Amino acid sequence: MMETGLMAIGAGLAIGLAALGTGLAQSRIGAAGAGALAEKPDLLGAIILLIAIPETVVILGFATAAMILLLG
Amino acid sequence: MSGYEYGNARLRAMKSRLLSEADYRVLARSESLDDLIGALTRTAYRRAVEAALVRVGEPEAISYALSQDLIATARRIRAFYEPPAQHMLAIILRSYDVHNLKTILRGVERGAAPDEIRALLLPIGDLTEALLDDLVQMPSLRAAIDRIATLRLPQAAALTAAQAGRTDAILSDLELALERWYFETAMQQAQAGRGEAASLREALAVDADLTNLLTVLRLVHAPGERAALQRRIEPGGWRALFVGPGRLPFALLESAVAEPALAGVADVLRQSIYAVPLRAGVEAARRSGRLSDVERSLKRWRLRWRAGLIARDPLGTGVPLGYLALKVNEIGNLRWIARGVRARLAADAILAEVEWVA
Amino acid sequence: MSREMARVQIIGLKPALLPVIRALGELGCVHLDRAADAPELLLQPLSVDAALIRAQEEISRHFAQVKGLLDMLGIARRAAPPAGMTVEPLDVIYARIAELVPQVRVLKAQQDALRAERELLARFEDTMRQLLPVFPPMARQPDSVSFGLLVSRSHADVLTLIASEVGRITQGRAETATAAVGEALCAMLIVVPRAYADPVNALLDREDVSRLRLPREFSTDSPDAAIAALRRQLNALPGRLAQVEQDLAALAQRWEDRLLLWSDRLQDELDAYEVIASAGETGMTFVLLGWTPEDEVERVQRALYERAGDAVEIIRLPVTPEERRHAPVLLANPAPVRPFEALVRLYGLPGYDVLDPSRLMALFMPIFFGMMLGDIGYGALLLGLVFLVRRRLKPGMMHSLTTVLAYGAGWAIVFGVLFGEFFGRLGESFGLHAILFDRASEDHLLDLLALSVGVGGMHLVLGLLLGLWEGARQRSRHHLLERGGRLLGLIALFLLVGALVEVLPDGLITPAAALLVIGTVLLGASLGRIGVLMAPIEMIGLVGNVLSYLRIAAIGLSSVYLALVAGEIAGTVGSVVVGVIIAALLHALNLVLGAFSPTIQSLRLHYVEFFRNFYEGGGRPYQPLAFRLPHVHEQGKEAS
Repeated sequence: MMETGLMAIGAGLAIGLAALGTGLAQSRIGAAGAGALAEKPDLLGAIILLIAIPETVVILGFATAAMILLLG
Repeated sequence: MSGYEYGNARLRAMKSRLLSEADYRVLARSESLDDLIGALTRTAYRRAVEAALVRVGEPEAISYALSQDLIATARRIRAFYEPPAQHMLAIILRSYDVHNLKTILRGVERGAAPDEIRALLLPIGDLTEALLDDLVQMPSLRAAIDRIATLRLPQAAALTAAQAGRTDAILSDLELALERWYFETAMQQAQAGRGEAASLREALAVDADLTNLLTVLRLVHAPGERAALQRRIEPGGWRALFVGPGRLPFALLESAVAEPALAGVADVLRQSIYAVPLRAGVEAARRSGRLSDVERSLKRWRLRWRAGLIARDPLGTGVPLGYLALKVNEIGNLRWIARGVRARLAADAILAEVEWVA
Repeated sequence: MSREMARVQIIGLKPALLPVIRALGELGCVHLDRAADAPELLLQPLSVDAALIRAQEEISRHFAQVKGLLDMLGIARRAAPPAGMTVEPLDVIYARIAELVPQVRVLKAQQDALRAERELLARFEDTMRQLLPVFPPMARQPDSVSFGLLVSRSHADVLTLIASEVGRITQGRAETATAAVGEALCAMLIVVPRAYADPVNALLDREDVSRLRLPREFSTDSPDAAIAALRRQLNALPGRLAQVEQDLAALAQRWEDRLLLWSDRLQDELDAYEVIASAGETGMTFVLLGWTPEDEVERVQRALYERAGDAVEIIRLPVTPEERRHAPVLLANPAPVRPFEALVRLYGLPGYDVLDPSRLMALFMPIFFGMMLGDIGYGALLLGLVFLVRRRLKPGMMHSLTTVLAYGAGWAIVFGVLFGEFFGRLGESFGLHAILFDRASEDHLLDLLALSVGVGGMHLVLGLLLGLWEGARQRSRHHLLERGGRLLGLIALFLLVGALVEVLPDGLITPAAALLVIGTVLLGASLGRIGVLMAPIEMIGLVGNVLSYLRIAAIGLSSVYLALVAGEIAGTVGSVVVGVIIAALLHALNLVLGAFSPTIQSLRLHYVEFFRNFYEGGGRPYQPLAFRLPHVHEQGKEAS
C-alpha cells in the first residue's frame, strides 16, 4: 500500500517537474517567438519548431511516469 | 521570465533591417536629393518617406522622414516592454533628452536658426517634439532656460541650480549639470533593475567615462583654457568638471589632466578599456592637429561597444542599448548623406564619414 | 507537386517591348527572371534612354505620394480594386495628386500645431495654477505688474537676496511671496507698482535666476488674466482639432476609391518598368527570360502574336538539371490536399524538383489527430461546428485550417469507434464497446503506448525511406549516409527493444547491436570529423524522436480522462440540471482543447520528426507578372 503511494508520487513528480521545466522554457521561447514573429511573419514555421523542442522533455516525463506505474 | 524576451526578439529582428554597407553605398551615390528620396523608398524608410512627401515639400522631405521614423521607432519600442523592463528602456531613451537639450542650448547660444537646430535633434526621450520645438525658438540661452523652468521639465532644477551657482553661467556649466543630472538619476533608477540592467549600469559608467575623457582631452589640448579654468574651479580640483565616477577613478583622470600632450593622456589610460581607441585617436589627431579626431575615434568605439552588447546580453538591457545606438547612428549617417548629396560631394567623400557596424 | 514549368525566352524587335510587357501583364502567367542571371546566353542588359528613366522616377514619386496619402488619410487596402471606375491617364492622375497633396498637407500641419499647442498650454496652465494661490493680493490691483522667478530648491537663498534688492529699488513698495513648485523647484512672485516695472525688470534680467516665461500672448501683467487666456485657448482646442479631423475624414471619403485605383495603376506601371530593367538585348532585339506553366505556353504564344505579330517570338529553352532545381514553384495538388499546402508552406515552400509532402501530410496529420481525440461524440460535434464556421470564412489560412480540422474530426469518429468512446464512457449505456481496446482502462495503457510508438516508428521509417530516395535522386552521398545510418539505427532499436521485452527471439540481440553500430558509423561518416562525437548523440536523438510519438497516447489519455471526469461529476451532483450543465461545460472545454492541442501536436510531429528525414523546403515561389488593372501603358512611352 505504502509502495503504491510512493510510486504514484514518483510518477506525479516525473511528469510534473518535467512539465514545469517545459513550461518555463516554452514561456521564454514563446515570448521571444512572438516578438520575432511580429517583425518577420514568414518565420512562423521555424518558430513553431523552436517552441515545440522543449516538449520532448515532458513527453520523456510522461514515458518515465508510465514506466513507473506499469513496471512497478 | 525576465520581461525582455519579446521586445529583445523584436529588436533583433529589427536590427536585421538596419542599413548595410551596400545600402549606404547606393544611397551615397545618389546624384540629387530626388534620387536619394527614390533610393530611400527602397529601404526600411519607405513608409516614412512616403508620408514625408505628402507632409512637407521635397527639400525637407528627407530630414522630416528621418525624424518621424526615429520617433515612430522609439514609440514602437516603448510598447514592446512592460514594467520593470519598460522603466529601464525609459532610462535609456532619456539620455537623448540630454542630447537634445545640450543641442538646443548650444544652438540658441550661437543664434542658430531653429531649423538648423531641429535637424540635429533626436526626439525619442521624455521631452516630446512639441516641447523641444518650443525651446528651439527661444531667442537666447537665458530665455531657453527660463522656458525650461516655466514648463517645469525634469531637468529644470539641475539647470537653474547651475545657473544660480555662477555669476555668469556658461554653456559648459549647463552641459555638465545636464550630464550629471542624467548620470545620477539614471544610475539610481538602474540600481532597481536587477541583473538584466547590468548592461545599462555599465553603459552609464562608460558614457560618464567618455564624457570625462573628452573634458580631459580638451583641457590638455588647450593649455591656455586649462590655466584659466584652474583659477576658476574650486579647490576640490578638476573633479569639479567630471561626471560619475564611471569605471575610471577621478584621481586617474585628474592625473591625466596634468599631462603636457594628448599622447600622455593615452599613456596614463593605457590600462583602461579605452586604451586602443584613445591611442588611435591621439595618433590621428597628432597628424591632423584636430581634437575632433580623438572624439570620433572614441565615438566609433562606443558604437561598436554598444552594438556588441546585443550579443553579450541577449536577455537584458543590452539589446535595447545596442539597437538604439545603431539606429541613432543610422539616422545620423542618413542626415549626413542627405547633406553630402545636397552639397554634391563625391560618394567616397560621403562614405568616409559614414559609420556602420558590420 | 509543382506544376510542370517551361523555361521560355521571349525575343522581339525593340519597339515591340512595351506591347509585349502589356500582353504578359494582362495574361498574368509568366514569371520573369533577370536576363543577367543567365550568363550562358551572353545578353547585354537592355539600354534605356534618359526619358524612360525620368518617366519611371516620376511614376515612383507619385506612387510614393499616393501611398503616403492612403496612409495619412487612414485608407486601408482592399482585396479587389474599386469596381466601375475608369482609370485616368497618367498626366491626369499626376495633376489630381498635385491638387490633393497641398490640401492634406495644410490640414495635417494644422493638426500637428494644435496638438503641440494643447501639450504646451496644459503645462503652462499647470505651472500657473500652482502659483495662483500664493500671488500677493497686490497682483490683482490694476496698476501693478507681476514677475515670477523660478530656481532650484537648493538655491532658494538667492531669492531672499533678490527680494531685498527689489525692496530697495521700489522703496519697500513691492510685495513678494515664495512657494514650492513641484519637487525640485522654488518660485518667487514679485508684484510692484507699474512705475517700478522697468527697473525691476532690468534687475531681474541681470540676476542669474530663471524667469517665469509664458508665450507672449499670455504674458499680461495680471496672473488672473493670463490663466483666463490660457483656459480660453485650451477650451477652444478640442473643437478646432475636431474640425480639422472632420475635414481630413471628408477628404478621405471623397478620394478613397480614386487613391486606391491610382495606387494599383502606378504599381502596375512600376512593375512594367521593373521588367524593362530585367530585360536583355542583342543588337536590334530585346530578350525576356522566364518561366510559365507548360500548359500555358501556347496561350502565351497566341497572345503575343495577337499583340505584336511577327515582331516577337517565344522560344522554349532547354533546362539543365541545375536550372530545373531553381525553377519557380506553383503547387498543384488535388483539391482535398490543397489545405495542407498552406501548412507545408509554413515550414518552407518545396523546391521545384523535390518531393512535395502535402499529400503525405494530408494522409497522416488527420490520422494522428483522430488517434488523439478518438471520440465519436467530440468528432461529430467538431465536424458540425467546422461546417457552421466554414461558410463564413473567406479562402485563406483559417479556411484551410477548418478543412484540416474536418478531416481530423472524421478520423476522430473512426478511432472513437475503435476505442469505444462517445463523450467518454457515455456510449456504454447504449451498448457501445471498444473494438480495438479501451484507452481509459489501466490494463490497456501499455497497448496504447505501444500503438503510439509503433505508429511513430512506421512514420519515421517512411520518412527515412523517402529521404533515401530523395538522396539517391539528388546523388547526395551525405544524405544517403545520414538517412541510411538513421534508418539502420531505427530498425536496430526496434529489434533490440523487441528482443528485450521478449516479443522477438533473444538471438536477435547480437545482430541488432551490430546493426546499431553500423548505423552509427554511417551517420558519423556523413557528419565528417565531428561525426565521432555527434553520431552517438544523434542516435540518442533518434530515440527521442520515436518517444516523441508518445504524445499521441498522452494527449489522447488527457482527453479521455477529462471526458470521464465530466461524466463522473455530473453523476455525483444531486441535481440533474446542475449535473448536466457542469458536464456540458467540461465537455465544451475538452472539445476546445481537443480541437487545438491535437492539431498543434500532429503538426509538430510532422515538422520536427517527419520532415527532417527527407524534406528541406527552400523553393522559389512562382510570381508571374500580373497587372492589377487592365490597359496599362496606353501612353506608349517607348524604350530606345
